[in-house]
Amino acid sequence: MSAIPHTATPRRDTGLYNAKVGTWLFLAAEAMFFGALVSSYVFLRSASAEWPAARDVLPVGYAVANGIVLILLATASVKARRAARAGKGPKWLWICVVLAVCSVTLVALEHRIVGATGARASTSTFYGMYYLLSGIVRIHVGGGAVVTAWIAGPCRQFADIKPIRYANWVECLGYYWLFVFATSLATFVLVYVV
Amino acid sequence: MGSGMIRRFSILASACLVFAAASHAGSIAGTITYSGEVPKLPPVDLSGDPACAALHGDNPPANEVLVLGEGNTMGNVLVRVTKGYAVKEYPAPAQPVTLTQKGCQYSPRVFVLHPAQTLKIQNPDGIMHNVHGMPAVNTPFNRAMPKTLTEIEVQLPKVEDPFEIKCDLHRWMHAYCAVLDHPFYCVTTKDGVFEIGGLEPGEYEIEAWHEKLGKQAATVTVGADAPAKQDFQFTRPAKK
Amino acid sequence: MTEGIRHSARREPGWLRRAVSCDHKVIGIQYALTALLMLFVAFCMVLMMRWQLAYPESPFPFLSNFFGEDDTRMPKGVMLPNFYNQLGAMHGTYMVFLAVVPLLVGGFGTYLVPLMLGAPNLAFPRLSRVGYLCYLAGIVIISFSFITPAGPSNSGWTGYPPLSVIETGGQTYWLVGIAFVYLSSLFLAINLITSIVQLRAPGLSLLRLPFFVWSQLVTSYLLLLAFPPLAAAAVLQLMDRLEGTSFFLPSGLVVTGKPLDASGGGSALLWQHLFWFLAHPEVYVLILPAFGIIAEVIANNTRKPLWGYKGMVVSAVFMGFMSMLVWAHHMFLTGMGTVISTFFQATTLIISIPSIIMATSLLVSLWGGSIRFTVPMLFALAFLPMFGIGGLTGLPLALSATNIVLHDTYYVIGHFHYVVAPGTLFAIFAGVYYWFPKVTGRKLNDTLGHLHFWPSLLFMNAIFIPMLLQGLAGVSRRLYDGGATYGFGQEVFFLNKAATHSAFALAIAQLPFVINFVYSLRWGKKSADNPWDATSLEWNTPSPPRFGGNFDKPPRAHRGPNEYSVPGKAKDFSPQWEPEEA
Ligand code: HEM
Ligand SMILES: [Cu+2]
Ligand SMILES: [Cu+2]
Repeated sequence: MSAIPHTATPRRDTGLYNAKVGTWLFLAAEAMFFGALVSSYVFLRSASAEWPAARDVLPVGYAVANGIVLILLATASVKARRAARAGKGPKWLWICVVLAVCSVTLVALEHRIVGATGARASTSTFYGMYYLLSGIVRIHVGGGAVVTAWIAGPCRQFADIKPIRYANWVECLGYYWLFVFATSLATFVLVYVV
Repeated sequence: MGSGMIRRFSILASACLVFAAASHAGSIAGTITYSGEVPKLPPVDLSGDPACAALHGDNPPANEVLVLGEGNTMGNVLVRVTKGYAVKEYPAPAQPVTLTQKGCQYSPRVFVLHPAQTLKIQNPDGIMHNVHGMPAVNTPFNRAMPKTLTEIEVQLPKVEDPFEIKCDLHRWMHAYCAVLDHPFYCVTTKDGVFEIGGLEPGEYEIEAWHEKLGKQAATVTVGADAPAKQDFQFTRPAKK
Repeated sequence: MTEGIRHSARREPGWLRRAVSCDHKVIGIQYALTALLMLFVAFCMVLMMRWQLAYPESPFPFLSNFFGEDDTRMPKGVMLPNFYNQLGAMHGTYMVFLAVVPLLVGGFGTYLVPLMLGAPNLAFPRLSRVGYLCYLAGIVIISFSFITPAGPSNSGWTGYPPLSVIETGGQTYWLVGIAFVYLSSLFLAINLITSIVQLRAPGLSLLRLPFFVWSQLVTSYLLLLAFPPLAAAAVLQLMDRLEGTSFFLPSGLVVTGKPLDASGGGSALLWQHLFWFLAHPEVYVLILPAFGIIAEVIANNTRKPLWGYKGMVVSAVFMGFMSMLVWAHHMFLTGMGTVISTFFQATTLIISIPSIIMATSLLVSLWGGSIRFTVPMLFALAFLPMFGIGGLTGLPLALSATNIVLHDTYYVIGHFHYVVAPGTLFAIFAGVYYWFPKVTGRKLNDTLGHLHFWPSLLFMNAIFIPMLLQGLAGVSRRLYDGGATYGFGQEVFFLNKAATHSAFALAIAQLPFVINFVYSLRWGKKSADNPWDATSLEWNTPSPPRFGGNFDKPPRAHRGPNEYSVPGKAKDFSPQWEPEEA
């Protein structure tokens, strides 16, 4: 079976390896997905008669804390990439996983608090959007945590067998975390600041 | 107005009177009248379905939203006892109630069903209808009846105030059905007369209902011999 | 020469190992066969609908005894309106999402693109296997709704709220199924783009790519970028249906006389925007790969390079870009305001330019060629005028003034079916006849091919011209009785019979194809590796190409994709893989 070229080393004219191209494309699709949700948010908000100020009805503290966790997460993913390129252990990957779990827990707590006020997704489009956007970010963080743990744990053996490809994977994962951070930041600004 | 309609009214009227005659105890009787200016209702516009229009030729059926007799007596009013009657199990009439769609018109327009009674809906003309019943308590039904489907049966097992049945294909087709678990009611014909028999002496609350003009209630005391009198007068609500 | 190498290759794995493998050819064939099956299913649905349109409320032949009196779909074989609506929604959904796009991109794209690139496989083989499984899951989920008591969705392939949110049929299945279809096309798009960017053989610069590959590239970008908003919209609509939110439900909604129990405050128009943001590009997904197929077939059978290859590439890219800026031409009647209407009217007229350039280039390519009237070429030649009719009938729809009259009539149905049925479907047939020898190592029979082509051409037109006429007379689409009970339907009702009889005749006209397909798989004439004397890299492989690797030795491209009849050459074709003799 002939091998597929450029799985590890970059192609000369494009300067990219395959997984990097794939990841960028995936994130482009993700951006369109978030873009559509954000546009829907703007559309509904501008068309609605009343729209509560999120700062007054939602526990901002949790959202801020979550934002900080995600900044740390993005930073850790950069460190993890450097470590992988240098052939070092998966310490930073595990830190990413822990931070991601923190973030998911924070969102869960936040939902508990909002839910305790009696607000459901069906209460109004404001709450519907709130639960939806924060829920989608949560799913992304949770999914990222699973993949990160998978690469840090079961796939660790490949760090020795195919070191370049392994480092590539970690790098792609880093792009994902940066993307998640960027979108959750955008969501935060949209819901709380604008 | 076609002869079919007159026949239909006489059947209904006799049902009320037979029931009254069979009763030995007291009864409530009265007349429903309409007061105020009588609106000129144009005949039903059947042009939406050429097949329906063809059934009536140059003679489109009159609008049945308001059916008036001599001296503005009102038909299609449901009068029923709402309180005071002995609460027990009254047997359902043996025959099912039949609602036909002859001539792209529902008949009877206003009728009562016992919870245990079957409602038969017939489609004799070979024209597709879509009966759409919109009860709030019972399960709504929405059944297409292509020309090949000449009869369906519907069960409405829960007591319910009058609700609308309409045809989704012919917007002029409306009927109203109430589900009552007692026999103390009467649907008026053009002469506006109702009589509810079989009532022990005592105090009763009764209600008269019309599809467009709303409902009115009254308290009536029934004595042992002469029927208690209670008339109702409907009028159009003042325009705001 | 290749024969020898093939025999010396190590033993190939058994059929089961192959069937679950991640070889792009295996997956491409699986996509194509599954999609062909879906095409057949969707066609059967529409045949039943067509019967009801021509003979409203008459029992469907042969079926009357299968259904009892109380059946909620077809009592005694008579189709009820709700079932008609469900079949209509499913016909559109199956055709677009489960048949034609998977066939063009999943089937033709997955199979051919790596071969044309000179690559051993797609860039992410496992991803393409997962993508195929997602596609299967989508089929299973949407089809499952047929056997639920409520039946499938009945709110059209467009799923417009509020109906789609409050309807009691299988809309939830539809939404979840579409989400899986989305995943499958996302994975496909990532795979194809990455492969085209990364896996081109040495010497295969971008402008040496066959136009087919370009069409797949642009198509993949459309799938990649336009589908996510529909996925997001599906999530929102699922929330509306399951969680009771009101993203698409405006305040004060009254349903059959009762105020709806929902918070309101949403917007039904929002769905339309999100839906058409995908669904307009989706129609270019339906037509661009078709152009790609036709371009290859025409170049090969005229024995000439494509006229205006670069212009076509630029047009395809421009068309892809513009197709994301025209969506609201489906919404002229929603009262979005004249300024917005004018904008979308302008973009729509602009986007017709690249399609005209592409069609014209192909037409001009015929000029002065020594045309071989092979069966694939016949379909390709028919494609051009059929697509022309489809495109030209679209212009009145693009102008908001004329759109007011024509919107939601059978004229629209006639218009886009000219594009997708005698248009795209003919391109698909052309592609099947053209590449069948490569895929199976055997040729399809020519006589049966002619028996397939000529009646199909006739009946396609006999189906869709009546629809255009009915639409001009004012007959609305999505009527379960073909207009029998409507004033506007009376004069043109007889056309229903013409269209229906033609549709059944079209079904019969597909028999030669089915027979041909099955027969030739086994007993067809053996094909050489390059039976059409073609030039692009896929013909540099054995027929069928080797499992797991394609090429006997890694190819190198020495020239452009369609170098036919190069002056001074002995042969009338100069394959990309043959080095320039010194
Ligand atoms: C050649 C065979 C075909 C025939 C006879 C046919 C016939 C029809 C008819 C009669 C309708 C209108 C139903 C109505 O409005 O009540 C319809 C709708 C539709 N068709 Fe086809 N069609 C064919 C092929 C296709 C193909 C190949 C595609 C797509 C690639 C397609 C996509 C659609 C769509 C999207 C709708 C709209 C469904 C809706 O209203 O929600 N059809 N077709
Ligand atoms: Cu009717
Ligand atoms: Cu469009």
